[in-house]
Amino acid sequence: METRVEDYRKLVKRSLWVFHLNSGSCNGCDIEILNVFAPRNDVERLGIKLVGSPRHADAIALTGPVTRECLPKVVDAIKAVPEPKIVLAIGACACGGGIWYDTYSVVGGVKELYRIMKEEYGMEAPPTVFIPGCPPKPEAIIYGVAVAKGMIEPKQRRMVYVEEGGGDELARMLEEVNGLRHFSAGFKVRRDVNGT
Amino acid sequence: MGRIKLMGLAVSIGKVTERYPFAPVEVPDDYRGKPVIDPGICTGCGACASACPPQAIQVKEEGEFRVVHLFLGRCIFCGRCQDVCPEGAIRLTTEFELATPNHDDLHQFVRLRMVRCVRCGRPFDTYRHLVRSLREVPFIEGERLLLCPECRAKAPLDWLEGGGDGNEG
Repeated sequence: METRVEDYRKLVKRSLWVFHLNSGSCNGCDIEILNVFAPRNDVERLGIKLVGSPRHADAIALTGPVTRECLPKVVDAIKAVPEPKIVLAIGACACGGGIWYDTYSVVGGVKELYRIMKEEYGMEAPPTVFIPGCPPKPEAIIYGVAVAKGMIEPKQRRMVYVEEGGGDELARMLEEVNGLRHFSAGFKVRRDVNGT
Repeated sequence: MGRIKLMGLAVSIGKVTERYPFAPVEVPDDYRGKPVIDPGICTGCGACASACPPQAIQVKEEGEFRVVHLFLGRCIFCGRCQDVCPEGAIRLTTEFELATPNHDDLHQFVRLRMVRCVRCGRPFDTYRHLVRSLREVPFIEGERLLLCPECRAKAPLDWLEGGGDGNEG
């Protein structure tokens, strides 16, 4: 069964230790992750710490679009994190493939990665927090961590708009067309046949 | 530098750490954050979709509707959609707190009704875009603007052959 982020919060009360996993990122998101640990937004005050091995980690900070070359290594690293684990998909590349979403050498984001993990490795998708941005602001990463820990409710919502209207579009359209006929006043298309 | 000197420097600079998750952070007014399509203004012309470098905005046609689909997860916040939108319908807000555990939350859909071609009955353009075109373009061709591009291409042929609604001026 797929673990959701809400369930993860109930399981984990302790500080979040993060393993930073670069899966072919351009280093933009990686620099922002390092910024998060710098004095200005010092997240070690929240108990968040970078660790050197996925075996010590609670969370994976995944950046990059997961290139084909590093796909087995990424799967190994995610496998090495003890349960319960959480993935922070940081940046446009990790969230949806970024500008490389349909490139031949790239898996294209964590959604595709989870599909491959399920089909080829038989692994369940870990709970994931998506942090879009190219790269995300350090505050946006902290916000994502806060969402993962349940400190803040996410405000981003799916937005769907459907234009209303009955079947009389064409009638209204023609009315509108007739209302605009003054545009053609004094302007006639003349046909010159045989030089007349 | 001696330790006493260093401590004095630290005290003079003070605390630099922001209280961020517990206190709001200020962003500049021209910060390029989350793009939002105003569904009341959008005509579905597709200028944003052709300008979008990562194709985060895609315009598709689904039956009676033209769907403008914005996927924030792929957006690189370059602001080109804002630059090219002829209606000013898409705008980059200063919102940056977009993190969500639910992938579906990152989508925005604008479904716009399409007008059917008078001759072949195929939906070919959104109602709003057609009205907008009529306002921009001097109106000389009568109902021919209500034809889909294929039928419009055939219309002069019909007129040459003497049949159909040539609508000669």
